[in-house]
Amino acid sequence: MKHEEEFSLAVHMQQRFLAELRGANEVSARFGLQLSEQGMQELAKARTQALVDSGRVEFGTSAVRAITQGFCDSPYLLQEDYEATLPELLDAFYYFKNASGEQLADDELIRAMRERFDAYGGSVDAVIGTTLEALCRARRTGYVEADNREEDDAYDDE
Amino acid sequence: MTTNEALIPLFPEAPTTAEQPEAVYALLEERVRRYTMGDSTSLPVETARRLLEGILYCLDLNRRLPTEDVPATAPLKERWRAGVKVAKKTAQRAKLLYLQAQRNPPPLVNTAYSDTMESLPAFFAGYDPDFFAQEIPCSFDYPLCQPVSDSLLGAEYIQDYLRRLLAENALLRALGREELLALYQRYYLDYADLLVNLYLPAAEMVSLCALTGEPVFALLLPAEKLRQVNRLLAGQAEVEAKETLAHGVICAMDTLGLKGEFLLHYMQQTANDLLVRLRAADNADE
Repeated sequence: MKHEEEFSLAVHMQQRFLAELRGANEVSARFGLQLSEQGMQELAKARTQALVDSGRVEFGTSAVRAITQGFCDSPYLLQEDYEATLPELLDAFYYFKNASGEQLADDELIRAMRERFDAYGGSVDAVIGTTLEALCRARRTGYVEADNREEDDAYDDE
Repeated sequence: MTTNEALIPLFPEAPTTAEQPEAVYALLEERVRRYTMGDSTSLPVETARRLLEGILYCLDLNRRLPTEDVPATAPLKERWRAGVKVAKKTAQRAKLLYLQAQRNPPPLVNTAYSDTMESLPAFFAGYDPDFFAQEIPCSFDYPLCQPVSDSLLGAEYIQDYLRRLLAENALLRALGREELLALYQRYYLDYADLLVNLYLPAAEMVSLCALTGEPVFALLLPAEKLRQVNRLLAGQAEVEAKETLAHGVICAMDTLGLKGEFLLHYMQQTANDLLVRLRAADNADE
C-alpha cells in the first residue's frame, strides 16, 4: 500500500477532535466563550500530552467536549482565561480519572470539578490542588463547610 | 503515523497481522465503549492493551479453529465474535475437565496440588471472554511433568493443563497409595510441601519396572536392575533406546490396565526425558 494511501490515524483523530471542539464552541458561544482556531490546535496538543502524562488513551469522542460543556455556563469562566483554563482542567480531569480507579464516570467527575471551581470563585488551582476524596465529599455533602476546609487539601494551606 | 503504528504502543509484541488495522481499531473503539459502558471516554493504556490483546487472541482462535458459518473471508467483527464463542466453549469444556479432576484425585496429593485445585474455580468465575479471552484470572502452581505450551492462553491453557493433569492422575490412580508413598519418600525429601510433580517418579518407575520384568505395581527397582537398564540403553543408539523405552511404557500401561492415545504419548514423552537424563548421568560418570 502506498504511504499516501495509508489510513492515517493521527490525522483522522486530530480532525475528529477539532470537529468536536467546533461543536463545543457552538454551545459555549452562547455563554460568551469561544476557542480560536489556534486555541483549538493548542488544546489538541495539550490533550495529547495530558493523555500521555496520565498513561491513558481515548477512543471515539473526547472528554474535552464534555468538560467545555460542563464548565461553559460557570459565571467564573471568562473568555480571556478560557483557552488557558481548559488545558489545566483537562490535566486535572485525567489525573482524577486515574485516582478514582475508573470508579467515577466522566459526567460525575466533571460535575464535582465544576462545583469545586465555582465554590472557589473560578480557581483552577483549587480544583487541581484538591484530592479526589475531598472532591467527592463535596459532591455528597454540598460544598465545603468551613470546618472541613482545613483537612480538605494543601491548596487551602498555601 | 499509521494505524498500525498507533496500535504498537498498546501492543508492541503483536505480530504483524494480516488484519486491516483500521478494522481492528474500529472494533477496539467499540469494545472500549462497551467496556466503559459509556461512562468514560478514556481508559488506562494498560486496559486498552489488554482489550486489544483479547481481540487479537479471538481472531487468532477463529483462524486456528475456524467454523463453517464464519469463513476466513468474513468481516473482522464476525470472526472476532466467532473466536469469542470458541473461547466460551473451551472454558465450558475446561470446566468439565476440572469437575472430572475433582472426582478423580490421585491417591496422594501434596500442598501445591490441593492449592491448585482450590484456586482453579476462580478461573471459571473470573474468565471474561468478551473482553479478556486471553487472560487466566487465577494463579496455580502445581507443576505438571510435561508443562503446557506458553503459546496457549486463556481457556485453552486451562483446558490443556487439566487434560495433562487428568492423564497424570490416571496413571497415579492405577497405583497403590502405600507404594506411591514409599516411592515419594525415596524420590523427594518432602513430597507433601515441596513444589514437586507427583506423576514423574511413578511414570519413570513403572516404565523401568516393565522393562526389567520387575512387578510394575511395586514401584521398586533394585539397584542391580537399574544398572542393567542403564547398560542396555547406553549400548543403544538414540532411536533404538527410545523404542526400548516406548516398549516399556506400553507394557506398563497394559499391566496397569491403562488406555488412551494421549496418556500413551504423555508417558512416552516422560520416558524420552528420562533417557536424556540417564545419558547425561552416564556422560557425567565417564
